[in-house]
Amino acid sequence: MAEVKLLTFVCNWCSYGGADQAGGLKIEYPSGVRLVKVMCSGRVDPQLILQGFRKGADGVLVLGCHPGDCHYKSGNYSAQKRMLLLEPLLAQFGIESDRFQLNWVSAGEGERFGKVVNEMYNKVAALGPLKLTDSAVKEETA
Amino acid sequence: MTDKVGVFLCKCSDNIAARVDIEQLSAELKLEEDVAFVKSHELLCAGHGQEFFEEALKNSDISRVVVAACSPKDHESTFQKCMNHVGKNKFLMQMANIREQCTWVTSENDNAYAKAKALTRAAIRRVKLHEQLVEKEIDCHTEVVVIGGGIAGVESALLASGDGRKVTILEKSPSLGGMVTKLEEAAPNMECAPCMVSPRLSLIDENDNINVITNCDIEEIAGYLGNFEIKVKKRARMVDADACIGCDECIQACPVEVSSAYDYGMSSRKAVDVLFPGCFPNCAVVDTSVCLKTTGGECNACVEACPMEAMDFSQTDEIEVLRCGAVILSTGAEQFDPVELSQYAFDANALENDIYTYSQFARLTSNHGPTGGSVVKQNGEAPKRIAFVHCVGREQLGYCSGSCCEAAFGLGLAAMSGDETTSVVHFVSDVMCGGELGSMLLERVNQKNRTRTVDSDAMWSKVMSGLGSGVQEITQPSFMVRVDNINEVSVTTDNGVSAVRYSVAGKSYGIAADMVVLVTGTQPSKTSTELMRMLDLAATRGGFAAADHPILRPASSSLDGVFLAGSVMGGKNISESIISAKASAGGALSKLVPGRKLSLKSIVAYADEELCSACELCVQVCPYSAAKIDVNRNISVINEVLCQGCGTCVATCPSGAVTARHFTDAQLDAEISEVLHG
Ligand code: SF4
Ligand code: SF4
Ligand code: FES
Repeated sequence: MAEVKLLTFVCNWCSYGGADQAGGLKIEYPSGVRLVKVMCSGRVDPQLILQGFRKGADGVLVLGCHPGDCHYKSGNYSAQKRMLLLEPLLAQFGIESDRFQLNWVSAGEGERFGKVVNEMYNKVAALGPLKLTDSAVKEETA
Repeated sequence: MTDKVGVFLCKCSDNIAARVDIEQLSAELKLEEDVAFVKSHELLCAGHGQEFFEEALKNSDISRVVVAACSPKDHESTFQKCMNHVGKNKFLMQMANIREQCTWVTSENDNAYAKAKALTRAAIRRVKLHEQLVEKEIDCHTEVVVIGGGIAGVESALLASGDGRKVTILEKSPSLGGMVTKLEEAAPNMECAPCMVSPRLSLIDENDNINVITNCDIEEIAGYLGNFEIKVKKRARMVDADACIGCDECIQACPVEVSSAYDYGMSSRKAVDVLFPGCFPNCAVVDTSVCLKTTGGECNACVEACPMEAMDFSQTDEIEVLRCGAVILSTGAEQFDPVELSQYAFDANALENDIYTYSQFARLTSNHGPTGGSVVKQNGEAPKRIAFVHCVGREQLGYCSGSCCEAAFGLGLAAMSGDETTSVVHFVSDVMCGGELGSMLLERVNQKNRTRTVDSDAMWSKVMSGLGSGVQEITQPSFMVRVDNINEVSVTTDNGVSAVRYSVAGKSYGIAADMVVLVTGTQPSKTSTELMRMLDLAATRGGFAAADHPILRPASSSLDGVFLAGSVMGGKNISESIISAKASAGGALSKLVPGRKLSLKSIVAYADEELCSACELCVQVCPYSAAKIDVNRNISVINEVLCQGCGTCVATCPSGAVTARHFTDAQLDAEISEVLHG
């Protein structure tokens, strides 16, 4: 399988902790998984995700606290609602919908973190590196 | 001062160095144009590591720092403190987590090296864009206002005033004490309720730091931690509270008698009255809606009777504005009204038929209740059997109130302390009366009930008619009957004797009872609901004030600075109420320290007034109601006390008007592009 980059947004409270726990448990995952921390998954807007694709991500994963557990009460619900807007944007830029995922990992779920990133990574790897065709996307990359 | 970045690489003994060649990484990073120096250390978080870190910074003119090491969850605060020690801004330090996210989870050394480099470079690019944030402090009020003077309010006020802090209790009714004052004995261990409450009220009376305002309504309340403003309407009492000695001469003289709401319509009171004997403040109050004098009639009886010349009909309602730093909401709850359900025969004749709610029934056990504390039927006779029907309203409310079972068993026990021939039977499905004390209470009810035999034949013959066919009569049940479906238990009444119908294991039964007590669920009180609306507090599904976090912050509301005490959060027994009251007071005390300012979060959002189109989307998504439209300027303004910095508004704003400090688009963009590079 090809080397790909999976940009993974993690919220400060749950999923960052989940990633730390995966580290503590030495759960292996591909080095192409690259994390960026935000305070809450609610901070991640479609533009940030597109930016990830433009800057070289072959897949983007957004991880937040489980529904009902967001440190800020409802940030992850806002994220979830907003992701509906993302699908048509991805289609517009010719990005397969499988290259994106929103998921939940709690601070105590190191194993789950490993499972989620590995599965997503494999899915993206199977699709291979992303070739952005839309010129608009490329323009903005400049 | 250079804008270049000082980079520290930690080997974390071998945790990092075994996978990543730190010397090589250091050499490579030194070549980056933004980097002033790269220094590596065996164990940067250790005492000698921190000294090394501080020493390196002291001797350099760089202001921005990257620490590539473990998770910031472990040591961000350690290195932030070091930044502070050497006089540098802690927000100009960024950590790259090359241990948890890299060396511990990556199998190939080459891959780990490449990733560690990418993470560190991303941190370098990011920190270049960091702002020198200041940790703001604002003045705040340290006074506490307790709304609701029941036992929860009283206890939180006593604790909150402990360090000499000014506390004000606001109470709607004319006296403090709340629901507990209506009881004689408090479950689970059946202690004398007045004996518990009176000394607490005396402490309030003696405490110069506690100001009590009774007989008042809250007209407006708004604000946030450190800064609340409450507009209170003090209803005219028509009695000079300082002069009144609570002697009851006016009450004797008053010719107007109306039904007493305190006794749920089971007794009457006068137009001028005290709430109950020995109440605090022990001061009469005129109900201006029924007083002859205040409703246009002619009467001067109380004025003439008062030996202290305390009656003062020149009083008018007064408005007072209070400022405080924290609010403790202890406005209690209400009972579900069984009038809504026809199955319990709780109609206009209910009292006459000896069908009561358990709040009403509690008054019959109270020495200052309508029967002077004897549990008797409306005709004055002692009851033979009292049937308690539990879970009334549970289906309609949609939840188990959690506290009614215990109270009902307590009343069952109290009811048997009078006449030797009285027995009880509780109809239940689930029994929420646990713990050591709860179990002991159940056992006591059981023991006592066993000493009673009811000759119910006489009663039974009266209710036979109308029970329908296939109903088996039960004459001597145990103290507690678990029925198939508590929602289907029904009450019928005939010739002054009631019958409770229920089924067990699919079979229908009927039992005669000459008193029926409906154990009603707890629902949010109107006062609480209104205050929650004014403060924009989050509610539970049942409409109670929701805890900010049900496990971790059970006494904090969704608004910082507003604490919750007692059954404003849902049904609670007395000890649970007091626990939450103390937790609330503790929260208020620790958040607001006299002489200290309130430090604000630095990582918050702000809206750019040039870009904002006042679309209100941020207002809708903000979980803390921090974003509000300033109607005069027609822009969104984010309150930096309320904002918690989640950034949801940033992602929502269609105009790109909101920025989240420390997580700006530019900072994240820089991090994203670099983290994906290599
Ligand atoms: S979402 Fe943006 S444009 Fe709309 S009101 Fe808020 S700051 Fe203004
Ligand atoms: S950052 Fe979060 S808490 Fe602050 S105003 Fe925006 S949505 Fe509200
Ligand atoms: S803080 Fe984790 S999703 Fe909001």
